[in-house]
Amino acid sequence: MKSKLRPGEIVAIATLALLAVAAIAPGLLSTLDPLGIDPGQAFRPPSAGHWFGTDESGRDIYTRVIHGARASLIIGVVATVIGIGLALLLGVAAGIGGRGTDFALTRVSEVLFALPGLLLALVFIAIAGPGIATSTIAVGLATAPGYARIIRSQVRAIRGAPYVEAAIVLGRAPGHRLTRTILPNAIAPVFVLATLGVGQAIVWASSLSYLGLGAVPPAAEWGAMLAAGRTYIGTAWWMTVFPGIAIVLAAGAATALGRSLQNRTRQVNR
Amino acid sequence: MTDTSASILSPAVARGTPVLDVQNLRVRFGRGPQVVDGISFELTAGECLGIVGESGSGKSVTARSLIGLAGTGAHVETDHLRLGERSLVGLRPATWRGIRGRKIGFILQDALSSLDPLRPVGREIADALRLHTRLSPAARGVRVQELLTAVGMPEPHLRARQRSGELSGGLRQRALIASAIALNPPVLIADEPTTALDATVQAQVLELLAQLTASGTGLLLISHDLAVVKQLADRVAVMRAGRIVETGSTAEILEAPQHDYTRSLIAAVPTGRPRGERLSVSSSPVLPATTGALGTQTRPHEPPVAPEQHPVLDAQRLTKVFRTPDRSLMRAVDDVSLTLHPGRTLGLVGESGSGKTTVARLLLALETPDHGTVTLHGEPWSPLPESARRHRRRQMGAIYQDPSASFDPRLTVEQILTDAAGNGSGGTRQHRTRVAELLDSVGLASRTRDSRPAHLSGGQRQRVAIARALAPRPGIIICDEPVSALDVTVQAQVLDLLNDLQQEFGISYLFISHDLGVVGHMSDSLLVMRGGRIVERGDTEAVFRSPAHEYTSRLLAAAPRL
Amino acid sequence: MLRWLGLRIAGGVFVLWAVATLIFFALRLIPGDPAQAILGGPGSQASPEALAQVRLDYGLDQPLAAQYFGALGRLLRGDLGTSYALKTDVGALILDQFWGTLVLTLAALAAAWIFALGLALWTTRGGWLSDRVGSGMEIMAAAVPHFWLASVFIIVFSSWLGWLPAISVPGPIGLVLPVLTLAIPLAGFLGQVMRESLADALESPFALSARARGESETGVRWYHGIRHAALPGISLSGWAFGALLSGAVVVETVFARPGLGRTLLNAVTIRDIPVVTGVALVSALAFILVTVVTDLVDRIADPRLGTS
Repeated sequence: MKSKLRPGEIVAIATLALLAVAAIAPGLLSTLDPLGIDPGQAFRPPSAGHWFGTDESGRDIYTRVIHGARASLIIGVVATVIGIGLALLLGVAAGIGGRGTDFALTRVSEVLFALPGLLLALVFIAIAGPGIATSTIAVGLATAPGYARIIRSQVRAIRGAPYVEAAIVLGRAPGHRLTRTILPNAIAPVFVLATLGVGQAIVWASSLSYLGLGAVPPAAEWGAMLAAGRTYIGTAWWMTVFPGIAIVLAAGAATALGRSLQNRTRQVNR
Repeated sequence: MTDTSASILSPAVARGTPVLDVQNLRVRFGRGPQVVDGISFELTAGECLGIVGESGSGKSVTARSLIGLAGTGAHVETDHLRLGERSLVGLRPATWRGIRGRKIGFILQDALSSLDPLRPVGREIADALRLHTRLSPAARGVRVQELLTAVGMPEPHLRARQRSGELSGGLRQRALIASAIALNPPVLIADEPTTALDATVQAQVLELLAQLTASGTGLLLISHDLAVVKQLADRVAVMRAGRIVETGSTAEILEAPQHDYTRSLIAAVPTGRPRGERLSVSSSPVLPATTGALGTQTRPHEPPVAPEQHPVLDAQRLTKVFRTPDRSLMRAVDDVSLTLHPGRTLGLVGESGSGKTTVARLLLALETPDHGTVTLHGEPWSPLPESARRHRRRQMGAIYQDPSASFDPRLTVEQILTDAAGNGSGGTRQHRTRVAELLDSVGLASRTRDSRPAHLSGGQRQRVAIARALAPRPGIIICDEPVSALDVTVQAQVLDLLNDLQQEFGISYLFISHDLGVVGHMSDSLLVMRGGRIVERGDTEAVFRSPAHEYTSRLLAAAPRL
Repeated sequence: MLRWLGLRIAGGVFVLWAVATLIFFALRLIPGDPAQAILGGPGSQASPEALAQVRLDYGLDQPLAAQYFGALGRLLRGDLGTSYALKTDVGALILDQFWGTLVLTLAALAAAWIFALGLALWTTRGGWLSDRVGSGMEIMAAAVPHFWLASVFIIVFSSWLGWLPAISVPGPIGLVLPVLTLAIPLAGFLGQVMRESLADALESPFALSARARGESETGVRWYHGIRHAALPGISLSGWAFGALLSGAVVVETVFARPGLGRTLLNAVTIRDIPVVTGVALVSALAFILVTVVTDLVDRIADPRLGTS
């Protein structure tokens, strides 16, 4: 982890830092009110006064994008925590459990897998009803089987690794092996997975908002902003383009950071 | 060799004609140091020149430079480089392609990865013909059959349609050779052609290469193994750090080596060397004066004793059956009994798939035998539940072929050794002393304690593995192929170290290897394993002198020796 | 091979049963009265008589176990029930919408494959631009949401350039933007995996052997590289099909294109449970079938899989 940061990593970290500032103290980046309507200023294209233009009620889109960071990031992080948390339960249990446990849990994740991606999230929302909370849980739930599969195979691989066998030869008890050898080695990959997952969760959660199942306009949330822009796509392109760029930047930076963390842990272990 | 194959295999160059002439070859990558630093040699038709060197000597880069494939970023310079009458300097890529395969054949180590796993081997061989001849696909097919027959491939029709993964190691290597000699190139470069093979198979492949030189091919044989080179080479060049340190006829090099490095290479070959004779010449004695301190501080180990005493480890009629992927049953270990006496080394030799590693795992109680029992220090071992075994595990250590995978990648050397030595008791101070002792006894500098094993050399890593095995002060160490991944001179040092430690602490070894020479040098008595069964057992010297089983004789005959 | 196939199909049947069971019991967790939902939710102020009639019609007055086995029995006969909102047969509704989605996803899969293979071949050539594209494409694929890509396409190709329709009209021209929207992010993922596999193959000893035989770089790619690049693409195609089904929900909505995805979204929005269940089961069935087929192709293409 000591080697110098590459340019791509610096860009990714800077982007995430900027988003963090926007999420924690949006007032630093824009002094306008994200919900303040001004009908006289509706549908203004990007200009010096309104960098990203204005929406149908004359709200400043730049301000709304900045304020949207908080909702989008929180949803992304919470959904990832839910997804990874569930996956850890399933994956670690399947990874360290006996054949029976592994078989049963693998079948469970196969069943969840049969409804790929958003389909599982949609079924969950159909049952639990739409809203920010349920769409966040839905994204977590929908991502969990994929993570569980990765975590399971990682724990299995570590459990079968020669260095774990070496611990058996040294007379270590199973509990000791689990807490001192297997889990510490599994944590770094899970951390990487979570970083990658935040990017995916932001994209999926904003998709649900766009479909009208998560955050609802006029809330300043990127997916909801895009949903509002959909009606005016032929005339006010800026309502669609700028919130979308925010999503791409946030998710892209998280993914890029996750990948470079992955490469670095690989190098350390090599 | 049959008449047809002779005509197929002999290139149209008269014996003794120079076929390859290299003057002052230099290679470096990017701005790095010279990997090959001015080497010169020549090769005549029907001659075999052996290039011997250890890893990092630059021998493989040399081989690749000769066919213009040194790799990306390589700067290759020569005073001259001639193939017969033709200069190979400054050729255009298309011209190079016309030479590769047609004028110079190239055989790489490990045919499994050197043949495309997704294509039938027949297609790989036919490719050479497609590139350099105007033969029709049907005619290529016929020629492929001839070539496979010529390299001694049984059932060539069948084999040509199989992919490399479906062939055994020896057949795979034959297929690779067939693809390299498809155009009868006057020069053949073989880079470690037998390294991944079992001894008996290695002997067959070397025999095939000998036939090729006999029919007039100039062979450049590159190997880390002096004993292999000796069997084929007319002349030998010894390479080290990018330079040829010594060159001469094979007899001269072996009998009157001039250079220290050559001498250490020769001394390192264990085959036929009596037990106890040191193999490493360059290294200082591994156990310096401080060993006394180590010996007195420790609680007493069993002293070296005569075999009449109670055995430390005893296995009776072990059998282990595995289910193969196609659901049939395979007896990996079949009715194996062995006895390990205190302070002695029991050798276990066998080729790949003979079941020797499963034996090691049964003895270490990492597998449970289907039949038979293991007894440790006269008390039951294998029948016990793991919880009852755990506190006695520290009486038995293990060293593996690939030490790097056996270390937790997060830990430093010091953490590994502390973890292995301590059962939680004792202060930091005591731990540090113990780690220092252990590093000292395996001949590692104390500054390695903060390194991670991944950053150490192969030899150092194996020393750390030995130190870890020693840490709980075991009476027994199971060594499974402990030196197979090491260079010969490093192998010599590690073998000497193991012998020294046995002298010092009276440890009993079960020494497992595919290499009869290594096992013979290390062991008091010997077991020969094949297909899960022990086919021969006895005193090492006696077995070497008069093997009872036909398989042992074949192993002995196939073992390369100096 | 037959044994393996049998096991796979049995596994698929099990998964379908489990999905159906899971959804059935999860639905019982919904607070409120299903009969209310059928009549349009609590706001509809349905009369007690109407509610009772609905309970009778839908068998909601029966014990849970009877309802469950009744539902399973109907499923086995291919009866997916009746839509709450449309009062029509769900099976017929799905059959009606299925082909549109199948054409869309398969076209997108094919397009993604072609793009991915092209990207893999190009980005392993070396050079500044191809290296940048190579390392960036996976990140773009992961970070660009379908709905935004579709919107940008509409803005550029429909609003500004006027080349292609913003609404998916029947016929191939209406398929272009939806297919591109689905295919481009997927191509980024597949291309990344193919690229790694291709790069490994080009540096492998067998590629060196081929070069030593006199093979040109183009020849090495053609005779050796492409197979190795394609392998992980085949393995991932089952997963990719699933991702496309999920993406179809968004794409069909943005381009107002009829299909399963849009049907599902509408059903989710108005909580038309039989339709949601039906679409979920049919998607799961399609996904499982495609996975079995890709696994089969994978085993034929790579002989190493059968033995390990």
